[in-house]
Amino acid sequence: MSKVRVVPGLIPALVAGSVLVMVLACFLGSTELSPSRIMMAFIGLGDRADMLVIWHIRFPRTLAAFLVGAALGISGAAMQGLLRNPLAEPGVLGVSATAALGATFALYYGLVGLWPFILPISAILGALLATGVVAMMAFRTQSVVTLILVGVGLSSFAAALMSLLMNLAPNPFSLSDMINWMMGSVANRSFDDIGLAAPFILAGLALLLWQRRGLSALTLGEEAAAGLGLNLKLQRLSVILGAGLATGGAVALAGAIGFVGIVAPHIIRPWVGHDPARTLIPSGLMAGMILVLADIVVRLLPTAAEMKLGVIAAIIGAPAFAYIAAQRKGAVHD
Amino acid sequence: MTKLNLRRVSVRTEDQALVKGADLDFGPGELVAILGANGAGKTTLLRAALGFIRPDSGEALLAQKPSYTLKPAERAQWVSYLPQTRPLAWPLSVFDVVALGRFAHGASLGRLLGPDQRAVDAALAACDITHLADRSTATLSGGELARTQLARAFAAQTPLLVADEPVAALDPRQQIRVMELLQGFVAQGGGALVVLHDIALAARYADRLVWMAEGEIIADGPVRQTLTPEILRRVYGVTAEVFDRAGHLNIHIEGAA
Repeated sequence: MSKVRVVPGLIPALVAGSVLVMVLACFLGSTELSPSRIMMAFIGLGDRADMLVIWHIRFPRTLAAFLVGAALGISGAAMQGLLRNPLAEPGVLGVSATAALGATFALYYGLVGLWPFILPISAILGALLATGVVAMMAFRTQSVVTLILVGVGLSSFAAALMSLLMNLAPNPFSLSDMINWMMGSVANRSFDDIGLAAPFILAGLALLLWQRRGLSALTLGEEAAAGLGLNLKLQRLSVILGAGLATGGAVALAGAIGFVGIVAPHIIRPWVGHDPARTLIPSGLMAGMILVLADIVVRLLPTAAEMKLGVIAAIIGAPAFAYIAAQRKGAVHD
Repeated sequence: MTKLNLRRVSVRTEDQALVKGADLDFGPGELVAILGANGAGKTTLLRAALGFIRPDSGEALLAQKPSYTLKPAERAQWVSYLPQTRPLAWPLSVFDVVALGRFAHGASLGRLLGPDQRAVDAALAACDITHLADRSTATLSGGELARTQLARAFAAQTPLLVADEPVAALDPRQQIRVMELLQGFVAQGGGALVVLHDIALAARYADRLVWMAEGEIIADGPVRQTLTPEILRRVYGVTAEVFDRAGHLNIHIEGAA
């Protein structure tokens, strides 16, 4: 007899946890600062150097990690709900890589000089292109394998094009730039960078949250959901657009960070009765926490060159992905 | 009164006709069974009737309006629909699946308002699954799952219910339970349109039988008028004997015609 439980107070607990890890992230770093100096700096009363470290380095970086995590966690959970598949995720489906391609194109062909918002917009256009392709495939086939292969194809294609851009760009970018975009990082992010991406991320998340009730209905399949009164076209469009905006914004801010959009919803689902709608907000908080923690690890590891945030995310996430995929052998549509 | 009316409805794909000139009227107070061989167009007929697909000619009306033009939420207030049973994408609780029946009323899972809560409780009780409310749907037997889906349709409190093979793959006892629940729904003023493959079951519970062969409705009427060896030959291509046993018609299939 397996009972379905919904953990009470989950969201408040995750909010508290998120605040806690973000404060922790501000306390830790290469410059040793005592808690009292950090507190003073936080409320604007510390000395100039301390304030600089907290307000210009640690806090923006932490906020960026959390925002990117939240965007990817909620996008992942929403795509999983729409496609009725726990392996759907911006990274796996090639959405992040295509967004990174859009961003690098804007960056290295000088478009960003025209207007800074061209960076997130290009990333979002890349993301929308991929979500559109994936969604079109998904409505034609119910095979998970097909979808993931399409994602692999999109990712490889985006990586190849990026490599081509690298060679042809008027101001050629280095291999490390490309790795930054393909693996993702929040090092040296400022409030200005966050300001460019955040409006798109928040708009996308608002759209996904507004339309989340339909994801519950889709549990029964598309035809039954339509019978329940769900407007399928509007639902698909909202998730494609919402996930595209949020993922594109996240990639513009931090590059392509994979797997966190699979891991967070997978942890959350049993706590919310497996309801896709109720998975969204907790997944966002959980994914935000995971990336903030991963970024702490990145900063504390004594490596010569700083590790990429996406490397840590993949080291944790890729095995989890494989595990979830293996668990699904008895599942429906494979 | 909410009715479903089909007038000369045809549905075609590029190279073949799936439904040809179907006429059908159905409303509250009757349990109508649609019978026909695999591929006879039963599911397509239902989908056109409900407006999921647009008829190529003729018209399908739900509550006097062309059903294809209805908004999904509007349609869901008139009719609940159980497609051919499909596994659930996520192992929701029985309670949550039934609560999805309240979707068109604006219900969100986990935050049901009074009327929604009452409708779900009533549907759970009607289908005798109140004790399973917290159970994961992944652990249910076929019969329990069928009753959960039915409770989901009842929770919507629509005047009409359309179900595509609601008793497929159930054992005889569970088939009877589902048919009795549908009969109870009709006794309380609802109308049920059901695709069935079990002819004896249809003869026993339905008020009317609609027979389909190769996309056409070839007979539509009370059980005793339409359940004949001739119809069985035309619909299924079998020779069969029809006989009365304890007030119910039954059949014995002798072989392929």
